[in-house]
Amino acid sequence: MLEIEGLTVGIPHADGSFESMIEDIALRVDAGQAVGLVGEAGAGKSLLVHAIAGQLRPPVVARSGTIRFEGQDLLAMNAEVRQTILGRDLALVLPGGRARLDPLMKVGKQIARVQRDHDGSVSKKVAQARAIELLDRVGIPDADLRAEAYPHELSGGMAQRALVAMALVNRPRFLVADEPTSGIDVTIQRQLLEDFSSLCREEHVGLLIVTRDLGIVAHYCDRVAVVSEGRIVEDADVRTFFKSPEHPVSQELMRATILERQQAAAWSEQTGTVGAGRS
Amino acid sequence: MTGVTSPAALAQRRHLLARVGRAIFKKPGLGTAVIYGGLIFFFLLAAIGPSIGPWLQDVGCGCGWGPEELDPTHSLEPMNARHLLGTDASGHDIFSRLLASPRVNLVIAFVAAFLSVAIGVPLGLIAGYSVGRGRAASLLSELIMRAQDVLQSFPIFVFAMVLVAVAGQSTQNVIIAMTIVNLPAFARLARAEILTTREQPYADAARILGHSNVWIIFRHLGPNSVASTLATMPVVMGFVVLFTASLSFVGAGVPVTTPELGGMISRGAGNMVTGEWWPSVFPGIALGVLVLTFAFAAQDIATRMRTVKRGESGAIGAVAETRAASA
Amino acid sequence: MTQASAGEQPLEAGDQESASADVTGANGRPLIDVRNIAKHFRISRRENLVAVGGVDLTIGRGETVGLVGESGSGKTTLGRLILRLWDPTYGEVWYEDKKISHMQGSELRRWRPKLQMVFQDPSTSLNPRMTIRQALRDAVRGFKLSREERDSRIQEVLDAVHVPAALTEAHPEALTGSQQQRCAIARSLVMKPDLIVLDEAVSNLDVRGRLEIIELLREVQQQFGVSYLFISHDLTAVRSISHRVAVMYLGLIVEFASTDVIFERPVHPYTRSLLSAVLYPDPEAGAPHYTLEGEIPSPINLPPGCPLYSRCPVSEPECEQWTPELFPMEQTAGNVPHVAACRRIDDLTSGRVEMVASGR
Repeated sequence: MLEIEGLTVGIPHADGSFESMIEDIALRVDAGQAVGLVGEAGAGKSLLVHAIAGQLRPPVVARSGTIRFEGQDLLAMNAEVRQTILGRDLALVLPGGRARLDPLMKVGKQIARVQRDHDGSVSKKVAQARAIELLDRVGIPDADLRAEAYPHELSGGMAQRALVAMALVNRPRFLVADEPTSGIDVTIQRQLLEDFSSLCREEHVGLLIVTRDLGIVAHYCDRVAVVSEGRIVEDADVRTFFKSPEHPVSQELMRATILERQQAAAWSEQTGTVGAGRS
Repeated sequence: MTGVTSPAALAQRRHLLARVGRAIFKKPGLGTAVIYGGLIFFFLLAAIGPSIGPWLQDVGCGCGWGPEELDPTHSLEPMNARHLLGTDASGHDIFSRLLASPRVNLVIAFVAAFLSVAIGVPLGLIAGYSVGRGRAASLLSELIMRAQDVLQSFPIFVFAMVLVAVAGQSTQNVIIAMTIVNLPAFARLARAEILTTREQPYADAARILGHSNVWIIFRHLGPNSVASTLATMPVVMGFVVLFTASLSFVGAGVPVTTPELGGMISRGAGNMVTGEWWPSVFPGIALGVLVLTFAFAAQDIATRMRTVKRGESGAIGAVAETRAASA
Repeated sequence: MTQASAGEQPLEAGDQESASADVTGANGRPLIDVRNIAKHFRISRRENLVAVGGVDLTIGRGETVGLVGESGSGKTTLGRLILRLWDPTYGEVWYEDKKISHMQGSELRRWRPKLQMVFQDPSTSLNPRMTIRQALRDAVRGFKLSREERDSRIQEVLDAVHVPAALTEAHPEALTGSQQQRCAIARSLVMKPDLIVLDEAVSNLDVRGRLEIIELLREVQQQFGVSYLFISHDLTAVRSISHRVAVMYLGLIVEFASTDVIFERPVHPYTRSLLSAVLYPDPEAGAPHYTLEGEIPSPINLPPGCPLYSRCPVSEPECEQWTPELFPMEQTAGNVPHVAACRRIDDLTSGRVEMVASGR
């Protein structure tokens, strides 16, 4: 469904040299499949999302490769055609919470507008009803009231969920989510991820989740791709990956995560027997 | 896709002014040279301008006149070899007055802008920091800002005329009037900025360290709050030059004999209708160029400050980490 | 809300149930004793936001108390009340035998260095216009130290947080997130404080950075004997550093016990669902998932009664009117008391009522 091949993105210099930031990326996500993209900060995950979203800004350019969405190359098509696909068939949830919402427009109206932008035949009333339905679906209580709120009246977690609602409004066939649950509390995170995975299973939506959290990958993805220094160093089935990560970078990532858990467990055992405090 | 496209659109809009500037001077390097060349030229004139006329006189050039010297028999003469840019109604040589005027205008602009910053910014910082910090502090803040309201709502022309009526026409009085006009703007800007910076964690950190409010305001928050305020200084200076000129129109400006661009324009204006355009037009052009130069310089400085601020984040730390790893 | 925790009442000799022997100093008092503290924010004439609604908490010398809860639970507010960044609406904070919750002016300023804080976002918690060394010198400014004393103290904390001297001439923006956080810890340490409030101090870091900083914090605690109040929504991080953990919900502590009790044998329905929502990086791990309906209610004009009432899977009609109160549990691990604020606590511990696990 989404197929990236040989994608190289970077900064061309005046002397003809090319400073590549992500290099020769190949990634494939099928309908109904959830793929997790993991890697350390600065590995190039977000840049890849920007490339898919058509948001590369000079001096950063895509030098080679293709990003095919249902057969059409997003990089080759002109910006206007791409805009009709983005937000309708291919939706994005980008990190940033409140900063990504228009501060001067009510949340419900913003969501309704995204729908009406792509389909002019929808009446304002219908779009507003759909916005409220979606706000409710992403776990915002009193959705009809919250739809009338301005972004500053929402908490960070609610704003993030409003962004998810906005991404879902046009019933996309593919969803790219960059740290979709950052700033959201664990209990709500779980609800949101459950929602994503039911989209995958029941409506065959393709899902690309960019995250630092291997826990999300383990429970909500079918495949995992590890990015390091601008390259995909491992691309494996989730069960295989967690059983035996192959690349050193993946092993390191797993080791750190497991170490963190072991450290925690060992510590709580120790404090349990010794008792609190050191006097 | 409101949520996704608008930040990019915003970023483009933000650089609109910069793009206009670039369009005017095709090469940014040349534009910068013109702007700062202009600034240096005016500063140079402020330094030596008033002595050029008398110096020409000393070397025996027929066209050399002191800026306040009168040639009563040749009043309102058009351009000629004796008076290069002609004379005004009282017989002042326009060329030498033009050379001398940047000193008066720039001194007024600088001193007034400096004074309004020196008084307005600390007041604004204190007012902004005090908001919502107990009853006494909030009262102080209110007091400062209401005082600014009074200053700003007071008709400045009336104020300047009263000042002149009481203390007579003088450059000092113009500077005082100009300081009072601009002070509230700086106070407001500084207050708005510190209201943002005081919410930064490092402000809380400074409080927890037990620092005094004065130290927190002026050592921690001040330096992080005044950048954009100071960037507006050149614009304000250009504005002061214009305003000084307006004051001369209502007779509340600098003394008649002092070579100042606004005064020259206003006194020459009466002759325009009878066809003697030179006493007004030449100072008018000079005034326009001076104000424009300051405005462009302000824009350039603001752009540069933005670029410097970004820098390369994490660069030094990353290098140190790589070294530590390889060692 | 009253709390059956140690340090509040005079202790009877040989009281084995109490943790006071461990968490209090030689004079029989804990380092920090928070008594029934509350913070209300008045939003308008009709609306009152209760951020913290009467909480008791003790922190012993050299002890780490973890404070977990979701956003809006009041954990950050509680930290700020202890530090006197905000003034409490009512209640007291005692620092050994000094009441610091009502100090003002210069007396307060002299006390401030004893209690320090490390913030979530290291990039904004250091003054961007000061180099690291300038920031550290600025921090010890109040102490009237000689140049040598000052520099040796700065060197001591820099060594403790493993920041090479070469980096101290840099401005914060030139450092990586983990290095910035080390410097922020150094700044809080240079005052030789007794308590550091760590407000989401590792939440902005990636896995490796988190590991590093937690390890570092433990080292620092060994070396300087400082106490921590570790505030975080990241349960794994809280578990790896805390001696005791308090769980907050809507401005109240709902459960407070030693770390292993909280993580292994939690009682309160909220603690249970919070723990079960954590995703472990293991696709085979199929832990039961207790769901809470909806989301945390607005803390504005909160009705009286149990704050979890509307979402609780085991709530009964009586819970709506029940004023929360911390009950001591019968079986406590070691000598650290285990308290929980649930009306049905006996039913839960005896297994008479089970929380329903939703399938995943």
